[in-house]
Amino acid sequence: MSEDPMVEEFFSELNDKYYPQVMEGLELLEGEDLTQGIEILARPLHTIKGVTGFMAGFEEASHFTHKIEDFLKKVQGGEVESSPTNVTLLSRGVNMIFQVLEQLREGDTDTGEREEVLSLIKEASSSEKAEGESLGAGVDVETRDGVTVITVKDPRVHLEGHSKPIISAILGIEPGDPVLLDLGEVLTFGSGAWASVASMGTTFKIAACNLSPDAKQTLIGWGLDKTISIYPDRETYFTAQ
Amino acid sequence: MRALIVEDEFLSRKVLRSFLMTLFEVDIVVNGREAVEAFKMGHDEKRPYDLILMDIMMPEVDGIEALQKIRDLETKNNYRPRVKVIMTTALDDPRTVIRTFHDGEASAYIVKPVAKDKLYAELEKLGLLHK
Repeated sequence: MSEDPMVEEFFSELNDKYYPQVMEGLELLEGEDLTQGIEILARPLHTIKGVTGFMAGFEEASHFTHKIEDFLKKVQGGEVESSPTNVTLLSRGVNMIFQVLEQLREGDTDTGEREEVLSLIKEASSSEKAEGESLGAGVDVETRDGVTVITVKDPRVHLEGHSKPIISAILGIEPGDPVLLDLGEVLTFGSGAWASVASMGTTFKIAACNLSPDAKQTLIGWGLDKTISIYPDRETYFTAQ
Repeated sequence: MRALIVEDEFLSRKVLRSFLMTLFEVDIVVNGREAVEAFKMGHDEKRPYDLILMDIMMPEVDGIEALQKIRDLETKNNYRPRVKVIMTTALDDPRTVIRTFHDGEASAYIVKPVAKDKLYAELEKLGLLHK
């Protein structure tokens, strides 16, 4: 389409150099080495962003790549959680860069899919931010057979704002009394949050039920399950009492 | 904030300095070799540069080579965050543009003459200037 030497040179480098690098990075990203995958993806993405900014007619590709690079950095820095959904979205965004470049080269003006990806990225980035800023959805507290049952309403318990309501609820009961944490609505529970709960396990009789595999793995992986007993669900807990 | 101007030509140095002096504490060196030295010194003094404005065509060590040396030092010493480097050059040559971004991980690239609005737009993108 174009006689612009910058465009020619860029596409030749893209095919020979960046595309293989990106494929290698994506393979690691979707495989088992997220950190290494991101590391490998960072450089070709940075180059694509930078160089397309100099190519007349490809400014949109530069803009799009910039957004993907930003998202990549957020996942790398932990600002956005590296959950399977977010990693899949990242991978889709990276693949999309090549599609956008081809579209612009061929004069295809359909921007539907790239806009969809950008809005998903925006959503993924802002929901993390909103969670971090808000004080969290808190907890529901009820009593059953002399046991204080605390149902945690936040899907992700990582920040102080999320774990604080749990701690306050536990502190509201008499030392030595039993507490059951129902984590049926929780997807992930950070090690820091587990540590704060576990530190109270010497004063209170703390149990937890309905743990997601992820929450359970964090608890056991960090060796914090010494003062917290785990039950599959509420019924098993009350039967055992 | 500190900025380093790397430029072998007198008039360009003067103009760039006038653009940056209201925003940064500015130092000036005249070639790539001195730029690498100044970069090291900044870290030794625990006052690293926030921005380097680097010309590409310079005698002795050129801008691309100097940038690579700086990136190597950052990797070796685990300096974080990496310094923002804007490459300035009269060359609008595709290979050079690609090399600066890919091999040197330049933060931005400005084709000379460097106009104030062009430079400020890049500084804003890099988060070094807030309107």
